[in-house]
Amino acid sequence: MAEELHVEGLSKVFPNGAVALENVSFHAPEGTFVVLLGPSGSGKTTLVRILAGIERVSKGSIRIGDGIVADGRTHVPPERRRLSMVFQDYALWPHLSALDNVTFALRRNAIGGTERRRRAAAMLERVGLGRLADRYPGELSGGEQQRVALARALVGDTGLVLCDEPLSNLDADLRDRMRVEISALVREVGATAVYITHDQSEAFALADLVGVLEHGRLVQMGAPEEVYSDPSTPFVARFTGISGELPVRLLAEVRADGMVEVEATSLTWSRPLLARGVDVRRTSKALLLIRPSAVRLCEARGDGCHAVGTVADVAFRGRGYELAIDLLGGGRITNVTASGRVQRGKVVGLRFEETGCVVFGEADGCAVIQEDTTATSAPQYPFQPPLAPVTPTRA
Amino acid sequence: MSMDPSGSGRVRTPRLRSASGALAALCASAIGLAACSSSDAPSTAASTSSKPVTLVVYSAQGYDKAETTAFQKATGIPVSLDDNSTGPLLTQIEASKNNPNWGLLWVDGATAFAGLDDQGLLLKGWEPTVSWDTLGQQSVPKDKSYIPTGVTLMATVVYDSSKVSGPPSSWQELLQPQWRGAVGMNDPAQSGPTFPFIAGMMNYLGGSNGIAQGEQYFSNLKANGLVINPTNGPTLQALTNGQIKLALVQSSAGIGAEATDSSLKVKYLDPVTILPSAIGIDAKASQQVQSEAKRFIEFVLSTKGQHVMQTGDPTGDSLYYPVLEAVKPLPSLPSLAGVKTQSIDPYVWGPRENQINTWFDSIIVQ
Amino acid sequence: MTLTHPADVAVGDEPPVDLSSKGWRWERRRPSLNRWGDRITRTGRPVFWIVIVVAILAPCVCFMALAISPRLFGQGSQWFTLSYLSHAFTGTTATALVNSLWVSVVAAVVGAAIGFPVAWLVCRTSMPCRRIVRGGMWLVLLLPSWLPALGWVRLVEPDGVMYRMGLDLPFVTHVILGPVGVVLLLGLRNVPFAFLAVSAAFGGLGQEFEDAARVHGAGRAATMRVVAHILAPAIWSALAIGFAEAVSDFGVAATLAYRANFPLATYHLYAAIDSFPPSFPAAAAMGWLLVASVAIPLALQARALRGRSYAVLSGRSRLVTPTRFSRRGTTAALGGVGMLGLVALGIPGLGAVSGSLLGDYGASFHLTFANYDAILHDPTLLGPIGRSLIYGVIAATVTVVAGFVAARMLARTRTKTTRFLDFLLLAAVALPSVVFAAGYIFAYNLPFMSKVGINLYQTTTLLVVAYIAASLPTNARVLFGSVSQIQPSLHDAARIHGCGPFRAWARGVLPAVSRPLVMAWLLTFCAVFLELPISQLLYAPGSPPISVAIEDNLGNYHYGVGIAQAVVAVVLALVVVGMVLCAYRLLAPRGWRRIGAMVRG
Repeated sequence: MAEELHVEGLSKVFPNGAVALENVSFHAPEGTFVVLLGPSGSGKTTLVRILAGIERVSKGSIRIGDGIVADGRTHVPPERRRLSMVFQDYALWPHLSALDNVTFALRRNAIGGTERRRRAAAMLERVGLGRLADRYPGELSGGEQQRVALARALVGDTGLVLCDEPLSNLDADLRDRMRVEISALVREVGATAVYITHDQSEAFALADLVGVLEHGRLVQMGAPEEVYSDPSTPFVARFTGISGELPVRLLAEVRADGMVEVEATSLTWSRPLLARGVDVRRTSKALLLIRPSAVRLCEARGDGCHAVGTVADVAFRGRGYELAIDLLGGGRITNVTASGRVQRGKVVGLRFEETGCVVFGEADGCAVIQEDTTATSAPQYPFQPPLAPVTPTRA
Repeated sequence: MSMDPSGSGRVRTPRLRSASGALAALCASAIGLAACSSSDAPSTAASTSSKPVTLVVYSAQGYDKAETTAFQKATGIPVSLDDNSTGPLLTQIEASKNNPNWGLLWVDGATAFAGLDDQGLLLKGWEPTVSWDTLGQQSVPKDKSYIPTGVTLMATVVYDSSKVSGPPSSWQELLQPQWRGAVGMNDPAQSGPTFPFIAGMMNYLGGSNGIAQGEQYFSNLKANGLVINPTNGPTLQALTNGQIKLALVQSSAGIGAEATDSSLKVKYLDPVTILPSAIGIDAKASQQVQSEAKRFIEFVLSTKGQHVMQTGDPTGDSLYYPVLEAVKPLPSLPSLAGVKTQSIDPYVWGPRENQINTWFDSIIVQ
Repeated sequence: MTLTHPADVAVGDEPPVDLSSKGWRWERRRPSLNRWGDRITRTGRPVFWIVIVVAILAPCVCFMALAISPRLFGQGSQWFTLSYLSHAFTGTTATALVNSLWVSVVAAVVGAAIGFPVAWLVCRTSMPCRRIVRGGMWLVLLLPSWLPALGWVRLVEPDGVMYRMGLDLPFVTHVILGPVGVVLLLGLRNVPFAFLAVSAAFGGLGQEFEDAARVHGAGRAATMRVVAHILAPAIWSALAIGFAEAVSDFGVAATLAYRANFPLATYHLYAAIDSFPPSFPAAAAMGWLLVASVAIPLALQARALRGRSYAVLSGRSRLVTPTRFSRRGTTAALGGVGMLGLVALGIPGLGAVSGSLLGDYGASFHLTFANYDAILHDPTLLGPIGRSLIYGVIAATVTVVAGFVAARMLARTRTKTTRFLDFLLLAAVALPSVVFAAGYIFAYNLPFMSKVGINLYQTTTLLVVAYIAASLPTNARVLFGSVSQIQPSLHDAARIHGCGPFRAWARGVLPAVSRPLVMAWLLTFCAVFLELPISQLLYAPGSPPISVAIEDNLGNYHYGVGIAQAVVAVVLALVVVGMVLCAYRLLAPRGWRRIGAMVRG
């Protein structure tokens, strides 16, 4: 039976002074699949460990269901929180067979031994490992081990399932399949899930709610579509996948509907375009961040063309091609989809759809960055832009 | 649903918990330690009650078990016997100097007692009323800090009569070519009774200042192929192996060997040094313990006690020469008629033991 | 009757009684063992530190304090003096210390250099007789170090066994009865430590690292280097403990080194205590120097292992396919190991056994079983043996638990506390056990202890505590290798999935290291069973352990019987080792045994 999760003002400071989490608050209704997305060092692993009870809270509170499990005075130990967890390194006990690993998680339930083994076997069957039940972890492949770990996490009918980057140690081809299995099984069982990852495409594919963590702060939380189309900070935008960014200046003030007209300042040739403005004024310098879904190829300098560049790279993706375009005047736009092959070096035009473009004021620390805080991996599988503009929905 | 309705899952904050855990553990261990205290631990508080207090006996003698049992039966005084080698006993006494647990010490060798006496650890001035024989008179110290109970002699010459027809008749003869490589003795660093032998030779050759002469003698002996083994046992084994022809060992060891193998014979060369076994009483023990110790000494020196001593370790320590006129040695002991015995002053030679042993080890033992 | 979840009830049953206010409680009541275990585990850390302080720190500090304050325990007139310390740097003691230092370094390296390849042969290849090699390692370890030394002396001394066999090789005599012999013996003694530490680490190392190296073009030697790098904690641990064990060894110092006129620090330390009157302050000054010397391997170890993670033991590790040798390779490997066995065990065994088979005062050189006969018919021998067995079992069990806790602390991130613990444990290894024994007398014979009601001196309790304290440091180091490989997520996963702290350890983590734990237990048992200095100074009067009884005979008139007793005791210890290993093999679940031997087939 799924549990609700409330996290209020959660902070964690390690004994050596490092601040891992700062004032994190969110609410996960029963049965939602929450994904916390962030680069390494953002505190997501610490957050999951605190939810599990392995680490203690410095400030703030955590409530699972009706009971406070952690606050300034209380700390309910892990075994009493009725959770389960899937670990990045699988954490299967090497001295127990797959079946015993799964049965282990049922020991706290008030059922007899035979019934435990039956349920464990059934869950293993459900993840497709029925015939490997007697194997030891050392005899299983990575994907099989993770599936055993998943079975172990789900067999006990716990209210909250935690997942600590369970797919990052798997091979690329396996990841997609496992992601679907995790998604399907967790929802089938109906548990609330808190899943952490650094892979934005994974996050958006799985989540009912996405939260983005930066240096221990939860900078945005919402439905995937909302976070994607309405990032609240440049960091969120970059981390959730952009094609490119351009310094721009505002040609007018931000309109009532939130859109603003801007013009690129660094390009040799460009036309003004509309974009969503966030925290930006006419007098300030600004940065335009462009989603892959907003970029369309068009005739160079033709109608509706906003910028011109040459094709730097062409990659075949099975369902179409992915181009990287070097703009005239500087800047590169990546993840541009095309239906047919385009020659490298060809001059092409780009049109930027307003729904996928966001402009941030420079005061937001949105100067063109040197280090790479974009998603650490390009999408592993063809990430299809939505076919129609997506209207933001409320969580 | 509730996590844990009883609230028993709640745990106090970390600091309080570990501190209280530590305190609980500390109390538990303190109580545990106190509870585990030995019931045999002797009371050192002065007690004037008539109820007997346990007498703690530190002894290295082979017959000590028999003797303490007999004493306990005869007097009803409970005895706790710590039977150990002399070295560890002395170490224990020295280490527990500020809170001694022992009542009396019974070991071979007057030099050990002289050393303890120099540190003021022995009860002085008491002597049981017995009539000492010559050996006894030579062994009682001036300040009566320890009481002899028997003596052995250092060193006897043991040889295999089937192989050696003409045993030596003097110490100097051992330096002769015919005994080249044929003489073996113990290492004083590992064999307690051996130092009195070396000191005795020094005393014989030059009196109380005879260190240089003694060193000369042993260096010559070494040049003549002296073989060193750790203690009596290995030295005698070297003899039976045929590695050496003459073994210089403690009289009790030699006589014991003689008893097991009829071809082995024991001979005394002039002079042999007396090695008393003695009892010393702890100066810091309570009055009651000290009086019990005195009763123990009196028992040991009684006819009955001497009989127990002579039967308690028939192949080892029981082969001693008594210090009392009224007691005859066991029949297997050779007569001392015509044998010159000398005693060395333990107060003079005792303090030199470390220095002489070190010299011996560095020059002789290789 | 326990409450059940509604879903657990089969159709047709009575609906469950709902007693709680909010629904149902589906957790079953944990057995009381687990609850007690949890309580103990939660207080584990503070209790562990109390044990460390009471058992190790207090006696050592009391003893070492004498070097600068002899009057503290009545061992001199000065409340503060540096004369003993400065004297320790001069003359023969300085020479002895320098000798001890360089000999120990070389012995540690020799031990690791031999132990690592042997461990590789046993763990990673299909060489035949692997079990015999393992057993041989054990034998070397549990023999008291004076036994092989004595055997060698017997063999090569002028007029020794070699000479009687007709081999007159004065050069060999000269070499063995000298620094080379000392290094050889101490180095051989370190081989089992290195072997155990490294083979335990191999046990948890999956094939993937070697495969990765080979795929990237590494030849066999380079692959070995990669593996050695990964096993670095185990190797460094072996080096550090090899050094400390060598520096504190007395058996070789008293026999071979003494015969060779090659002074070692431990001998001077013992001599200071053995002489009469003993000079504890001088011994304590030497002890300071020994303790200071372990700073060397520790500093080197810290530098080498800084900041890396060596957590490789988990369910993810793959089974290993052993390297197969060609016939020539097998012969070479067997030959090398056989030579090692001959030098380490065969020769000393010959010397010791030939000594015991000689009659007490029998005729020359014919062997007799009279001594063994005497033992078997002597009822007074059964008491000490039984006692030593019990002491060994208790001490080994407590030591392994504490050693595991210590090893885990050492394996985690380095904080000031763990660094202190590391130094303390290694320093304790470097101190000869006589220091512990005397330190216990000083610490627990204090007058105020009796006033407080703590009368532990000369009780069995204190003796066993002293055994534990003396064995704990070695034990912790031996376990360090495998414990450092446990991934923390194994414990976390157990906690999260419903185990209290105690059960999370007992069911989730310890089975994965069950083999190293059993080995550590056996090591401590054998060490305690045959331990001498502590037994001599601390045993409760009237209850001597077997080593004291043996020593009695060796020192007195029954030398042959004494040696025979020693042989019987060693054989008995081996029997216990065999029994425990068989029991493990038969009774431990299959999964447990798989971990320690991650080799297919």
